[in-house]
Amino acid sequence: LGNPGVAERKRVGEPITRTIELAQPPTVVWSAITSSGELAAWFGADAEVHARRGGAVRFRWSDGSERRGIVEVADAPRRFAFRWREVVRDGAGARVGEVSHVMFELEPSPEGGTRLRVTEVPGIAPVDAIGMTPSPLKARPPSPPRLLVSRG
Amino acid sequence: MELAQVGRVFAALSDPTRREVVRRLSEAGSATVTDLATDLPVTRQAVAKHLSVLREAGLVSVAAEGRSRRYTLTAGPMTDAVGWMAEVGAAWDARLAALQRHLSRGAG
Repeated sequence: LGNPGVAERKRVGEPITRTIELAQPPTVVWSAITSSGELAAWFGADAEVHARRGGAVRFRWSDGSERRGIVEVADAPRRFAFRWREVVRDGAGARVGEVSHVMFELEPSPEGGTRLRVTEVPGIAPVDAIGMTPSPLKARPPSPPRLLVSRG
Repeated sequence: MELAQVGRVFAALSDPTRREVVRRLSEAGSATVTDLATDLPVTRQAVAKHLSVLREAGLVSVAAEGRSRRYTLTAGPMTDAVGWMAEVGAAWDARLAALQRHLSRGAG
């Protein structure tokens, strides 16, 4: 919060959204995205995921890079969200990268499959403020900052 | 940055090939149409067209170099955001394709 330069730059970052149609039902897809064993088979990293709100997530890639985070939403089999950030180890110890939020949304398709939407959004608000209320789904061009006015 | 400009930027980046062009420019520093067409599975004409869209969005600049033109990602605050978008988008494209393969193996 004490670094307006970083906040200003991150404001420009728009959510990244990808949608994919899968033939399997939401319960099967849910297991694939929340179980450590299954994640290891497709995510491209060793995964350790505790799929409950507040649970830890850790991904380790073969090149030594690592991301750690915390589960923000675990609403089976519909929404799974976590925030994560890169952990960089060097001679001086560990440093952390900038936080971003990842959300998976599963919607049953009429054919018995799943429409899976993934959104990743850079940490726009301070982590503590956004942590429990991720709302990365309204992708639209950034609007000028709005003043919050309470009427009462 | 004005809203119309932001709209052009995100429209420009909505195309996977253009995101890949941005990613490669971000890695290489700069490139010619020939460089990019060699690396990407698209024609020189297609690369030139994508670069033109990116240029209109203000994401790349061009300088004459002998008989060819060299393209560079525009410096400035957008560069980080654009790099992030290209990188993160490409990562999810790859992961979701792998997820689809993983699930179809399980079902087979």
